[in-house]
Amino acid sequence: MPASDNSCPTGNEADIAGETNSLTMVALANPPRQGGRAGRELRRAAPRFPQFSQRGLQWRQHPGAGGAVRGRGLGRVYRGTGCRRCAHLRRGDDAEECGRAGGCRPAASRTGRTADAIPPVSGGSAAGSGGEPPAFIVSPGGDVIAVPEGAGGPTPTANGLGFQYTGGHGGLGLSPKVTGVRVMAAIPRYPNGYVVYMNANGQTVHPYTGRTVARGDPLAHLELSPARDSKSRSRGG
Amino acid sequence: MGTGHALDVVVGEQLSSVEFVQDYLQLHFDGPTLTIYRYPLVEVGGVRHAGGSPGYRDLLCDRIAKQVCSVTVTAGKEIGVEFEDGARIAIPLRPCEGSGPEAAMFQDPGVGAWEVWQYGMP
Repeated sequence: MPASDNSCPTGNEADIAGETNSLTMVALANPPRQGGRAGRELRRAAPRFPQFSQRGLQWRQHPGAGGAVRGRGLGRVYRGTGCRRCAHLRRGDDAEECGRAGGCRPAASRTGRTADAIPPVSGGSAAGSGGEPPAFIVSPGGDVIAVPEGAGGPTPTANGLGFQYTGGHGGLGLSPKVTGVRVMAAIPRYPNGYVVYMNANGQTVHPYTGRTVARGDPLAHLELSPARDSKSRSRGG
Repeated sequence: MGTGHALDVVVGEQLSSVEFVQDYLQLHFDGPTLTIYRYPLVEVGGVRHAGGSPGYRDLLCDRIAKQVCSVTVTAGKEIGVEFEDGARIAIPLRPCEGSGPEAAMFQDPGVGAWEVWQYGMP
């Protein structure tokens, strides 16, 4: 593995990737204390998403990765508390800013569209043991997506266009009115996919205020960043 | 008529309520909910009424308590919900000006099923 600011020397990592679509996500449960859990979550989740493969959204397991699950290297998730500013996750990161090569950029600025679109997440403290839901999920592009506390899932769409966590309740900077989040597959308008936060009635809401938003509101559909390939990772992301 | 979609479960159910949210609406079927991200067409007596036309909301709400007799999904074109009184709600699957990325979403909390129709996707 090439040395980079993204490398995880412990091997407690999960590489995730899509074949033709980079919208594969990882359920990262309690990353600060249980780094190997990401891999276990992935292995457990993989068989539950046959639809994703049909849409080019694939979970892959690397045979020699031991406790880790590896894909083709488009996305990588680490245990650690992560950078508070850009949500960059790296083992042992506890600083306000991660200071990674190329500058610490807020997740929102990476999208170039919606300022502060993804609620800031500094760790996955809400998740517990067993099959409990994750506190957040991380896209191959490095966007950290807060999952409402206690939400169940992930549940895939019937037609394989995405997955969702529902039945939660705020947490991690989300409004208490936010009960669910869904992550949708790429379409021409959102080539890396997008995220929608919902209330208990399935209505699209502002993640911080919980108020319903119109379909054209910038916060109705939060665009995800492009996946970072292995070359850019080895240069420092 | 079955479509092979999760939406099939509304056949035989009544439209229990219509909820207007911001610039879109939701059709509730005593649990299952069809969220439509632009105002659908309402066909009554062979006449199609578009959102914003006089009496449109009345026509839509008049379907409340009416039973759904069939649903149809024509990929990339239209979702249709037909009622026992012959009226029909049609949801175009082709984008128009001002539309978001999605045409509609169906959620059935009873079984946890859900489905999204994105513009330009099959």
